[in-house]
Amino acid sequence: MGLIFVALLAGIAMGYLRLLPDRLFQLTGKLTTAGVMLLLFLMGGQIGSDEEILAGLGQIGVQAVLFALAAIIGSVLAVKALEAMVPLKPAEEERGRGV
Amino acid sequence: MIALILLSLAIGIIAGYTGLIPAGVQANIDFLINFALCLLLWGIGLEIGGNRQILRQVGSMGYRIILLPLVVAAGSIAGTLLVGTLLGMAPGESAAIGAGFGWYSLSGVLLAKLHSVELGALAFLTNVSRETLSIILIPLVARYAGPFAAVAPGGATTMDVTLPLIVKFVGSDMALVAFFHGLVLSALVPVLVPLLV
Repeated sequence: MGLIFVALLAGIAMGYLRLLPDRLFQLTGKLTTAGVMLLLFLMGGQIGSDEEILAGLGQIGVQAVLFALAAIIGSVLAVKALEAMVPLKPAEEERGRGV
Repeated sequence: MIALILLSLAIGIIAGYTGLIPAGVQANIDFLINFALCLLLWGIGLEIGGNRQILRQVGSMGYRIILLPLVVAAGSIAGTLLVGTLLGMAPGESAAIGAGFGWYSLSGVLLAKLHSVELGALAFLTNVSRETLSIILIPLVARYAGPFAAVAPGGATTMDVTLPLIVKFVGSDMALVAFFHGLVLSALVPVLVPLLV
């Protein structure tokens, strides 16, 4: 967990200080796409090879999926309710203003 | 993009299930996942740092940035409370399952220790499902419910596993908001789960 935070901060600092050559910086979008795919493949591998998870899916899996869906739907609705009460986005003109 | 994401996940599950993943990779899968995550977060950091507008957006949100994880916590728990009531479970048990916020290892272990192995297993699977379903649903929520709602499904995982997805689908200007959201929810798991159960 700590290492992840360090990686993020290092990236922010390097991006802010423009420490990377432009050509390399242009590549980060492609790099993160490839990274996401690799990450999901590995996470899938972890789920698929975990006998405890697979065995559990048969018995209490339906309940677990119901709970998970309810938590997701509840949290999305809560954010929509918050947005209706408090503006989360800064005003459009402020967003559009150049740096 | 979403097809690529689902395909990567599906191929991974099948490869893991059929034992097609090389033993060397399998043995170090935790390390490799952490390595991929660090690399990704470094890349996201570069985008945040390189785009000064993002830092200004977080500044302009002010105290409102803390409201997002708080309502997501409330919404998650309300959702599992409702399902738990329908299934005839005790309110404390179903609320504690929801308070895992997708952090399956911690919520599973906590509930197995504090309550019972059965509830621990249900919390573990629920929160594994939350993470997996989030991966599938974030693109849809981003399209139909907007950038702030797209942060909600991932719960505590928006500071690591689902952060790259959020950035891909709503843009890097939500990266810091999502990271902070995941950080607050992660901190709430070990506090709320013992309190609720």
